[in-house]
Amino acid sequence: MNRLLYCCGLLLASFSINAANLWLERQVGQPWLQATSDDAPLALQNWLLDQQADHWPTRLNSLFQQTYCTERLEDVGPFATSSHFLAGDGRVLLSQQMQRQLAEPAPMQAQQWLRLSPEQSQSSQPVYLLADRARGFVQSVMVPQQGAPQTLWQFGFLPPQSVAGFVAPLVVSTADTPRRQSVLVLPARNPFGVQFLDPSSGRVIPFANPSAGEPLQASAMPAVLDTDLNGALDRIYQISEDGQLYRLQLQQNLQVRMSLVADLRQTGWQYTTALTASRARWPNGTGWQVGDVLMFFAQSEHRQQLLVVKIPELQDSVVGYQELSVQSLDGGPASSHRGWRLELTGSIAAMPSVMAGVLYLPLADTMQHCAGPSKMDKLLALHLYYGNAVYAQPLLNVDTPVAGKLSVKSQDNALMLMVESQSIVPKMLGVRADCAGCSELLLPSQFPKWQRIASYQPEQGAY
Amino acid sequence: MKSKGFVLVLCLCLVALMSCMLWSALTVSQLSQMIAATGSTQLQQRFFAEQRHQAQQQISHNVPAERQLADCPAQYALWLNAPAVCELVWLQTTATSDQPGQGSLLVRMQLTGDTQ
Repeated sequence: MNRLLYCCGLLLASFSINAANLWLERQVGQPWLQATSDDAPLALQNWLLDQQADHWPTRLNSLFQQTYCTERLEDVGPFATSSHFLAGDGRVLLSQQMQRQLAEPAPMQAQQWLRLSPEQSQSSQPVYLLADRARGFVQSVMVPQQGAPQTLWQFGFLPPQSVAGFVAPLVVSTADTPRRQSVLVLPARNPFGVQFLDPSSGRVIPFANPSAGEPLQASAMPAVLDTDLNGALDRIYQISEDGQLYRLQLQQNLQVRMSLVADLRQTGWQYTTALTASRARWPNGTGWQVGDVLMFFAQSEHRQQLLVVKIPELQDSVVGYQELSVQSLDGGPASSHRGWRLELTGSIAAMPSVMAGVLYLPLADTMQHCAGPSKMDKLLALHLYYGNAVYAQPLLNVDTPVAGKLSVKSQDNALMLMVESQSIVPKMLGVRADCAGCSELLLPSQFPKWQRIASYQPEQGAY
Repeated sequence: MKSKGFVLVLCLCLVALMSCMLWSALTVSQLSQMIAATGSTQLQQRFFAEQRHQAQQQISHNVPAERQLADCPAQYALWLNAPAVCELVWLQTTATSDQPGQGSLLVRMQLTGDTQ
């Protein structure tokens, strides 16, 4: 934990001229003050709100009361720390929970950062990438052991007014290029809807076949896949803002083959948050179907829905919006073999995770009033392929914000789902393929799981 | 006298010929039986070798991996953004005097973190 905070400190220090002045926020959603100062780092200025501005005190106070019910901004003295926010010198640093409240209807973390490996950054010094969703840029910052942090490059990837999605820097390697190199995949307003950046220099890496077609109106963070498991990306999914889902197949020398796989256009719905994709296989009646499963969100003015779409490897037709089963929280397994969609009752707190075929989506309960600091979030747990509840309830109450990384621990001959050090699900379930929407208890003895790729008879002494 | 000797020699030749035919027929049937048995024996040996290989797989949790895969192969109960890692493992069962060896290329998926 100390090392993590130290890394955060190093990163944020890069945005402050005076390295001693650090304003930090822990991943669990509670602010943490390392040193007080009049200056806050630039990286936090999106959420460092001026209390003295005309409209903010009223809004912040109502927000505090709405979120935590117990604390008021006026009760906090200079540089006081509370369990939920940090205030000082006429300014306040909000916790992630409050940021989410403010950022409706697309509440995601404003900033994401990633440390590059030495091969990716081509530098012996630690280099970080920081993506700023609100301002729509990606920055590369080198933090040397001694001396001031240095900004290596900065790249604005979208017009700020169109940025409404979650941004996570992603460094992957392209397949079959003359030299394997890392690239940063970002959304773009070009015919493919994506662009590649060299993470060491910030330069755009052009595609070999730049199409002369109309630019794709896409602002979602694309999903990347490595279908042949060679450690290099070879497939990208990107969705236009109005709901046309494209598969981009990367070929030799960055040639791109683009095909429409789903047309989910529906009046009033926008697709601007990040896509999540994974290779998967599922029974199709006669055998197993291999393909990709995509998870993403659609947003209208005050509504959000989760969509899960199955794209077979050899797809025969484009998936339509009406072909997806409409799921409800208390509904049974989806009847459509194309996928399903579900309207969400809370706001998305983090990107979905899938464990043993169960989709876990942390939701912030925006309708909660004065319920105290406990039960801040809910965890939606559904069957990935059928969208029905796997546990007794589809929405699991969680006593802690599910912003940290999920982990699994074995205890009492069962697997327990944890966030930070707190148990969320005492007995994890996994999906079963022998019937629709079925699940089973996961046992520690089932791991490690083996999957045979090839079998052979060794021969010795034969030439 | 001469004709009696001729008949005797002829009978002896006939008996020898019949013996040869009978012997060769017996040999051929024995051979074919052996050939038939060889097939089933081989299948049996392969079956036992496979069984031995699978038993070895169950206890080979700590066999060093050839390499760690960047992602897990397609599976139904998939793990995504989750504490799971997939590794490529060569597993080889050595041959014994009566059973052939067996080798396979496997993907081992194990949970990381606090699980182990």
